[in-house]
Amino acid sequence: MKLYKICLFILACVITASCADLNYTEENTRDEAWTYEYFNEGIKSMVFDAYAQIYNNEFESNSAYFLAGATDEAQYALETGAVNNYINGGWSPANPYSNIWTKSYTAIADICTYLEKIDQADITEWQYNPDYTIWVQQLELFPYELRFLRAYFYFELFRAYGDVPLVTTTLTNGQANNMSRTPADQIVKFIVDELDAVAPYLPVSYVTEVGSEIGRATRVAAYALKARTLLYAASPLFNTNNDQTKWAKAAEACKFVLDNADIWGLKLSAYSALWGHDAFFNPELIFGLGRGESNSFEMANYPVGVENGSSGTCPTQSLVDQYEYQDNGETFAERYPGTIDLTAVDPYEGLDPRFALTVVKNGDEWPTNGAQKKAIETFAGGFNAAPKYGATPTGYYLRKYVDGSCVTTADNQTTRRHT
Amino acid sequence: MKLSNILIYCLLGLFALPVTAGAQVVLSDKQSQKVDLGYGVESSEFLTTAATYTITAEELSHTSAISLADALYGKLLGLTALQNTGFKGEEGRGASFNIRGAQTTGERDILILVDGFERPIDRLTVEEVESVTVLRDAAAVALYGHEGINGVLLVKTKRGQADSGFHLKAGASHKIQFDPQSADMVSAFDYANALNIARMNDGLGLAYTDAELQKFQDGSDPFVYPNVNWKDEVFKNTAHETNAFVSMYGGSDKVEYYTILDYTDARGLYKNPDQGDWNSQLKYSKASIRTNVDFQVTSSTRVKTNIFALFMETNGVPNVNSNDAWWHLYKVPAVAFPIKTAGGVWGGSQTYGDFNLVAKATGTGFSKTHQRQIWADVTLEQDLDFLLEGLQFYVGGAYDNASNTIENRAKGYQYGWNYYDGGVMQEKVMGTVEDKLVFNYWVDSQWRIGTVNAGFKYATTFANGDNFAANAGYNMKSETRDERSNTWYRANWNLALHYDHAEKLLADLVLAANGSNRSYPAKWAFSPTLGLGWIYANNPGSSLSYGKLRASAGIQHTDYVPQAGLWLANWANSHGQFWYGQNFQSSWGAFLTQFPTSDFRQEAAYKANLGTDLRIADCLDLTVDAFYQQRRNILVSAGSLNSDVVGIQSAYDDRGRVASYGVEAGLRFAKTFASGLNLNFGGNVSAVKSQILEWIETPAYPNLSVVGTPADAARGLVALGFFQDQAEIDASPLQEFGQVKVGDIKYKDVNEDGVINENDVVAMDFGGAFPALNYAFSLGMEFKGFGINATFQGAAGQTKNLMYVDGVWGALSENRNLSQEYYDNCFDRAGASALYPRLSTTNVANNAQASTIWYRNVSWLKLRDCELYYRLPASLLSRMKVTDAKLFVQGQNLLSFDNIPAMDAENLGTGYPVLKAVTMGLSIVF
Repeated sequence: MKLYKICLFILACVITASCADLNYTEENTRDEAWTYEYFNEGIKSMVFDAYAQIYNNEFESNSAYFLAGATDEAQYALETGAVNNYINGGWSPANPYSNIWTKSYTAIADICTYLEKIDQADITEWQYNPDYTIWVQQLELFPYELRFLRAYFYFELFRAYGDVPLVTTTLTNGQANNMSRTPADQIVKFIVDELDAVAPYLPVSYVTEVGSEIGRATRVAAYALKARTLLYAASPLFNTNNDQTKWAKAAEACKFVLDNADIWGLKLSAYSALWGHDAFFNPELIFGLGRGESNSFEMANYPVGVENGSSGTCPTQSLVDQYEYQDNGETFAERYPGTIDLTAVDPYEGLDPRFALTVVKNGDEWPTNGAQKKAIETFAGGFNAAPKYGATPTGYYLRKYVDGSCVTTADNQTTRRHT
Repeated sequence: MKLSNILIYCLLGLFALPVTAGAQVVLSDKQSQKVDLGYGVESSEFLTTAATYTITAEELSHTSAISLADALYGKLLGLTALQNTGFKGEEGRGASFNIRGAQTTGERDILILVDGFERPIDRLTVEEVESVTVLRDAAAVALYGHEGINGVLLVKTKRGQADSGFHLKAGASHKIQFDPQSADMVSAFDYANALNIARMNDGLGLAYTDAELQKFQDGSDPFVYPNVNWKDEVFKNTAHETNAFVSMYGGSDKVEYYTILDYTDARGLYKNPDQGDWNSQLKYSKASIRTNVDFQVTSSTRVKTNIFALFMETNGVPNVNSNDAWWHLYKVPAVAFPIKTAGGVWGGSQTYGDFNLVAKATGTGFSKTHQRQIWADVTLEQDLDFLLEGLQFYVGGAYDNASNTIENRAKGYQYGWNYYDGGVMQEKVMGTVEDKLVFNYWVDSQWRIGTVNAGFKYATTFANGDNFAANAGYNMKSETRDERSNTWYRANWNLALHYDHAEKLLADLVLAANGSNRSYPAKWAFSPTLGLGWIYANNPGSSLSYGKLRASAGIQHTDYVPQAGLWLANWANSHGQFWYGQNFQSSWGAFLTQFPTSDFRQEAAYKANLGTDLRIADCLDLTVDAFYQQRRNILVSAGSLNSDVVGIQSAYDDRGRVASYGVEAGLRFAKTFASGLNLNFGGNVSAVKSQILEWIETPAYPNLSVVGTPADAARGLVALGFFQDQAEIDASPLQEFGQVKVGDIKYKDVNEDGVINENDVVAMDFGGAFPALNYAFSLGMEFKGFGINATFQGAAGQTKNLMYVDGVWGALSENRNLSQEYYDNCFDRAGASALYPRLSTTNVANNAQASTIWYRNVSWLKLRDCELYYRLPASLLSRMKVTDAKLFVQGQNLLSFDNIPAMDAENLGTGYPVLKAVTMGLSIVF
């Protein structure tokens, strides 16, 4: 009988232990309810996610190239660079090498989701948080910013595809699969109407706004985008019968921005201030995207021979040919149409000063940081030249947008902001 | 190796070996050989309706493998065991296993159990194992629920015997490993020449002048024009493994015990690891102890306990594992830099950075891992005859855990290179001097698994000789591994019924309810399995000693899902960061990632198996099985059906279906002749094919459809050869991967649309995951104490991609090293008979496409194990009170034939090589 009890006891243990919780899951708690309850991590993150999808491949670490490499202006040094697909026959309908379509509709879906669901957001339980008033103000502003961004993404779609499906609500798969394309004119109208509607609500500048969150959408950006959209719409690509009213509208929108630029605080600045550590705060910027502190763009574009440099986008002689001399406005190509004896003349002497800020040529001390500064050698057999693997195919290296103060040595690297 | 050679060797083996061969393999006693089908359900080989195959300790003892995982190559019918590269002390370097091929596009792992509980076998010694069984068909795996769907491997450890007294067995062996194989890489001179050719092909200038080439050849300027044979500098040709064990076993009428203490030590291939203060040699030291005890508590109560503990330490180079180190032979060419510069710092370069393998192996300190595992389980069996004759209650549980901690003592070093500036040699030095090793440590991995099970068993024999048995049980398991979504709970309710009519007509039925949280919200599945058998012959002593026909069919389920948490709307993913504000701060975005998949069924397997077991003249066993399986409800992304305009990633749909089918056949002959000669031989072969039946896809062209192709299909372009001249390029369809030059690969326009692009890929005939054909054969003999054994294993019908071995077939593009094989057969040197495209300094997109140039259908045959031993005569031993003593020499991988040049077809990769080995040892039983 004792044994019988033992058995019962063990059975009881097993049954207790066997309440296996098959409902147990370890999934992320960030569901819909959570997202709309928290301001910074939830609601604001959704807004920032729309901003984060604005196209900007140039400063990303793995695709550090400019589309200039696909044109006569420059050549990407490594043949495997993705930008070379545009020029080596790899660009085809099967490989558009562009994600504008997918990325835009993903962002538009993000924005539509936000706009439709934001009514459920209730942050009143945070009312004793010191930032609560700021949050309330921002919460009111977010829909206008997002509508600006939606217009921006439609601008990108319109620019690339013309007629595109116009989606202004969240869709099911079934609805999306049955969408048809809306004529480009109506897309333009949608963009312009949206921008007109939201621009008055957007701040002229965030410097004086709560939180000083410069970088977000401004009234200037909205009107500038409207002007650009109308200009593109008036161009022969979308204006085949040369409708003069389109041009008039574009001119009017551009004029409006120009007339107000000074009031809105836009100012011209030095050419070299367009990039570098503080470019984000350049008053010339209408709408600038910050890209964090890094040196990957420098690593990609420093000449081979500079430690960790891999040449990247190299300006061509065709680009250099277009620079003008300060004395008489003659271009490089006009003055030196043939072979140049470099021992006799310095053809770069007296060029537009923007040349020296855009192009690194043989003999320039580059990069500018003390740790790596060295005269660049681009002649055959030179330290930064062929036959080194990945050396410049054009004899020039890129300086514009490259922050020469970034140190890219194996140790003690430094990073700088990019914009 | 050519097929003809392989065949000749096979024939030689078949005819030559029996003359001198023999051994201890005996055919099993089918009545007493138990087949454990899990959770207390046991059958015998005689009665089972399941497709199983068992080998015993005797057969395993012919291998010199230091872990059980490496002892199973070609040993079990239906188990595909493939050897992996890497130093065995590192994690995950043992064999990889498969049963019945690529059954699905989802999870294909088999379940491995030791003494009834899921446990790893890569640290288990061969000596402590009593038997290994492979469970193949539905009837065999029915009780293992979700985890057993892909097949099960059962390992039983040794136990004591009642009333057997006390025995002690001790053994020691030493293994010498040799002949590390790697593809031959070209010399500095050839590399420099090849680089010149490549640059000319790319329209660039020459890299080296003739004078410079001369310097590479004569070595007159070793600092600027080095010629380093990295393999010779870093690795030696031999490595060692040592094993010793003591086991004690026996039993009285109350207690039976088996205990073993084992020590294993392995050293790797680094050449000069001893740096005085430290030693960075690859090293693996392991001690394990096992105690298996059975107590007969009362006349009706029995308790079994098993405890296993493992203590292991490894040593190596910090942050560079064995595979990484070997890979660098394929990465860094002989011309890259000298071992040390003229100034005495380690060589390096801008291109290759500090990756000087000599410096890494000898100058960066050392790294240790410490691993502990403890497995413990206990089972109580209580006869309940007082309630009902033949009724038994059982309850058991196991708790296993393991952890692995890494300790690094590492430092960096300065490196540099020499160059000429105006005719004067200069030296550029990078990095800083580091004198001290910096210590840090972290827990690399840990896991724990707890299991409980309980149930009732009942067995009875009716007056007419019919037998009935039933088992109703419940088990649950919790499993926790590193990281999120790796904590799984599973529970199973099983009812297993057996009925046989006078041991002639057999029926087994299993009704199972399988629960799991892994596939939540699809938690439970009902899995019925039926097995039927007919023993049509049972006449020991006659020519047909035994014959059985088996048929089984069942529906089983897996809890695999392609994405953890797919039922939830997840808002945690991000498209990136946004920078804002005066301080340039950034925040991550968040968005709704994907439509949730909330309504789906668990992936189900509909299995059928037909087989027969025969024994002829009491000395030849034959087993043949044919099987068909259909996997349904495979979760497939519905993305290809939906427009991107929706902007949110599609959910999964449970619409995938995959069929797999094949045959397995095994043969085993064993006989002891009157002269005392024991002769045995055997072989097994399995062939399997899979095919996708249904998929979610919208192929633009028929050749792009995955339907009809293997579940593990490799897809690529069809190569027609190489462009011989510009006229041929001009006359061919446009190849849209980039600019095409003479010597590039010419592809077939499969879909006939006039251009060649991604739309021209086709599926290769054979899948990439596993060989379609696996076979093995073994021979053995023993006569007057002398014995010999050999096991060959082979495989064919697997597509492998040479491009994965980019060190060998990537040529020198993007600064890779260059193999002799590629150099000799590239278009530039071999012309019309070229095997590979032109040399280039870049990874030419046109040639880098997956294609039939790179996809190879590999086949290979290896002499896995061979053994020569001498058993001391009993007359001599009895005087020394020794029961048995054996001296042996064993070989591993001594012969190998395959159809891939330059490399081992089984291990087509750049990892630490699989070595040949010769082991000497002895074992004594007191």
